[in-house]
Amino acid sequence: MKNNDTSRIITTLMNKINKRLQHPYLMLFIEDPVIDEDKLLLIHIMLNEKDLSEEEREQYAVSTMLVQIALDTHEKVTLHDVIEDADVKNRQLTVLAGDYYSSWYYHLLSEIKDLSMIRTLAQAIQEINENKMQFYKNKQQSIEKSMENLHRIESTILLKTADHLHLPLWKGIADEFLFMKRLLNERTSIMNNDFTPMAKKISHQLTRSKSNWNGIKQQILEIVDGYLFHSKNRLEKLWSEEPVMYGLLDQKMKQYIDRSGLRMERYVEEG
Amino acid sequence: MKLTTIYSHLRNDLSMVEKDLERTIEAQHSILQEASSQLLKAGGKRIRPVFVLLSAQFGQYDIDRVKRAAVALELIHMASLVHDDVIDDASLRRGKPTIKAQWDNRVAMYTGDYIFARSIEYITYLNNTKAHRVLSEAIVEMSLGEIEQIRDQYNLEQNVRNYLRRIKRKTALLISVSCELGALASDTDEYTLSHLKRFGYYVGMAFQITDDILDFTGTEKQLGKPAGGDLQQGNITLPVFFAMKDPMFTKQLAQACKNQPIGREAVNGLIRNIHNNDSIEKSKWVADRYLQKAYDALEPLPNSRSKKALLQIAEYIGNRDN
Repeated sequence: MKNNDTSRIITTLMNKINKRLQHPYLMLFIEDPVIDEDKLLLIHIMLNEKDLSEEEREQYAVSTMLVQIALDTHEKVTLHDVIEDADVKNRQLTVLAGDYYSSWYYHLLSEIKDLSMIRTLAQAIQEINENKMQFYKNKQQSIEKSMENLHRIESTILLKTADHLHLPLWKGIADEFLFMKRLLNERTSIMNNDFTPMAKKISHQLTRSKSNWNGIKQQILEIVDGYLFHSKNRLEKLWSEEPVMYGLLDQKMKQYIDRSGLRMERYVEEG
Repeated sequence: MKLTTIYSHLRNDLSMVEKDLERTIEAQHSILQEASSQLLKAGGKRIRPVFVLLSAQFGQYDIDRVKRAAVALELIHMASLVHDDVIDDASLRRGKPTIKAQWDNRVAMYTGDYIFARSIEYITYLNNTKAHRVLSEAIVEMSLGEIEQIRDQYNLEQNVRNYLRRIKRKTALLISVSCELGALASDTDEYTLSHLKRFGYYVGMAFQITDDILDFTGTEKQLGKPAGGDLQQGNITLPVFFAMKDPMFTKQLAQACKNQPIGREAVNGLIRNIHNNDSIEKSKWVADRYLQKAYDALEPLPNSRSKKALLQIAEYIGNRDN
């Protein structure tokens, strides 16, 4: 399929998803939900591999993305005490927006009578929430385990979908691409002095005590960069087996790398 | 009569449902597991599974199929309660600390999402496409109802129709769906199904109106939370609509609504005035009308132990005090 066709279909799918997301009252109080275009592109490419009707392809793509958006929306529920009316409303409606979006996933797949896909996505939601609990609540766990949690949080929906569609190679590519993208976003935040939950977890393992942010920022970046380097190597190996995916995703990855300020060649030079 | 006595003949099947509820919420993470089991152990009337089982007895009853709907509906209800406590910023439910109070909002959100997903996975083993269409439509409607409830809080311009539509989505729909799924899981004929569905809807409406009355007439011990809690959150329920026929009350309410949530003292004053007029009696009359419609919906169905139990549950709902 040509790149122009892909862009056109992605735009159509984005519009269909947006139609489900828009609720006039919700939109007054909550942050605009974000559709992860990379995830949508990966799902679209996977679905394109299979012999499905247009309706099935569309319902799969829209419902899978709605699950992702529902979970992402619930991540935005505030944790601190709120007093101002707008903050209270924002929290209440953020909870309900996530519930509303996930209700549509079940409904859309019920319409095409695909119980197996409903089950697949339900299992993905469980696995993601288990991993989120480990990530946020297991304070003592190793950096490696936390990175594994991030991996699962980012890619389980696509992995399960790939499993469902019997596409093992794409599973590896989606898994690594999304993990790397997350790490690059984390890197960008850390560079901008945003002490992200991941940065906090690494810092806790490094110092086991509250320490000066500037002092440990560099150490955290070193660790993140190490994971990024390995992730990039794995991704390049997978891309060599699937040149079409390389063509579609490589440009995007380059953009993320540029934005994060990461210098990959440094690792190559240092071996 | 105690509720459990009414459906004592379902004891074995209900304990099978209970065991599956426990199994289904098992989680790897200890907090997720503890939060979910705590919720389950807090009890509740298990009214939805009971409606599923009793309705299923009008058809070809097979507990292995029927329990798929019974367990899933209870879990969907439970998941919504966990998120409701975040929405209401509630620290107590049935007299016990809520998940959000014991841990935090994050744990409550993950627990609710986890239980919801477990319930959906569990019910996918019920191979009946109509059942899934019915349930999934209801879940969308319930979500919309919850959004509308927030929209309508502290809004004194709304009318009783808003309220009735809201409680339909909030409560009646899931009870109606419980009856419908029970009927679908046991392959009853269309005629029986439609009567059971209607029965569930009317009972659900009566159930919620009774709940809204109890918010003003119940004691803290009976309710597991202070009386007037709904009003404090700005939820305008049926007794309040009736009380608003008195312009003095409406003025007092409008004044109270300037503080959100409404202050405890103002709530107590409003409760006293609701008791001093006939709002509670009128609300009870409306609940009774719905109960009568529920009885009428069952009337054409053949007499059986299940039909008798459904009628007794409806009666229990009209007379309950917690």
